[in-house]
Amino acid sequence: MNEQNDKSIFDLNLDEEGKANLNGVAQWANINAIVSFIALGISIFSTISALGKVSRYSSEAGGAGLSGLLITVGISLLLNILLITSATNLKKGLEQNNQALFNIGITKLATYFKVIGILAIISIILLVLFFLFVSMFGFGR
Amino acid sequence: MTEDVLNVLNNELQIEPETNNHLMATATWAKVTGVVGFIISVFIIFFAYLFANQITQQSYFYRSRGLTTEQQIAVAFYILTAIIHAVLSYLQFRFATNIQVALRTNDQFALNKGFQNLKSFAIIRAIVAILMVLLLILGIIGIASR
Repeated sequence: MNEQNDKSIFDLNLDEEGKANLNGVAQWANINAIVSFIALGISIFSTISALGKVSRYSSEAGGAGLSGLLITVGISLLLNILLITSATNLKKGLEQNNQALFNIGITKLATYFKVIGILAIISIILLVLFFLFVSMFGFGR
Repeated sequence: MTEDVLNVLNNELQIEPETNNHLMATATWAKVTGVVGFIISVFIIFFAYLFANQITQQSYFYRSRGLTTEQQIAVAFYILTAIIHAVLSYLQFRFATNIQVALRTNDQFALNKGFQNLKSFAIIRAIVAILMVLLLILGIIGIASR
């Protein structure tokens, strides 16, 4: 028997409770991703209209704002596409009892958390640098 | 044990070695995010304190009446953000811990508990995201109507 496909009764399995919880995760993750896409659309619209007004006075500020917007859009698209792919595969895998789809869903979820983790580490480094800067040069001095 | 045998015989979904590896990676990163999230929550509270303290000092200097209503709302918003962030970080941390225990000790109860924490995390995040979009829309309408 192929070692990879060999299922042991000693392995963990997904019982009804686990399936119900993961189904809930998939549903809410889908909602999360859709709402985030809507928020991204609104943010793009409002940022571009604000940049249009700012760039009349300073083209440098407009350029900086545009590059910030592009980075935000890139990260947000990557995260939400990962989340939606994970949710879709998990849902299909659970509905059809399809182990391959279920595994893809878990893999995408792992990648999603990896990206979130790296972004969180970058955020904390930036926050620490910000507070160091504030403590060195004073707050509002 | 009987349920496990029935699940295998019924060709139910299993936590295979490949799934195990990916779930372990998910749990490790969720733990990192949870811990970092806690630290960020503390930073947000600290920032709210600095903000309130700075304004109070300035208002003392200009002999005005402390924080205005808008400034109080801003401080309350910082504190609320920190609390929500801390709750989400706690749920991520609990998810990660339960999944790691489940995978190391083949504990079915911990596995279900971990997925339950992940579900609570997803629900709260989605509700917060919906509220943020509503606030964003209200803000835009408010700015446009001026």
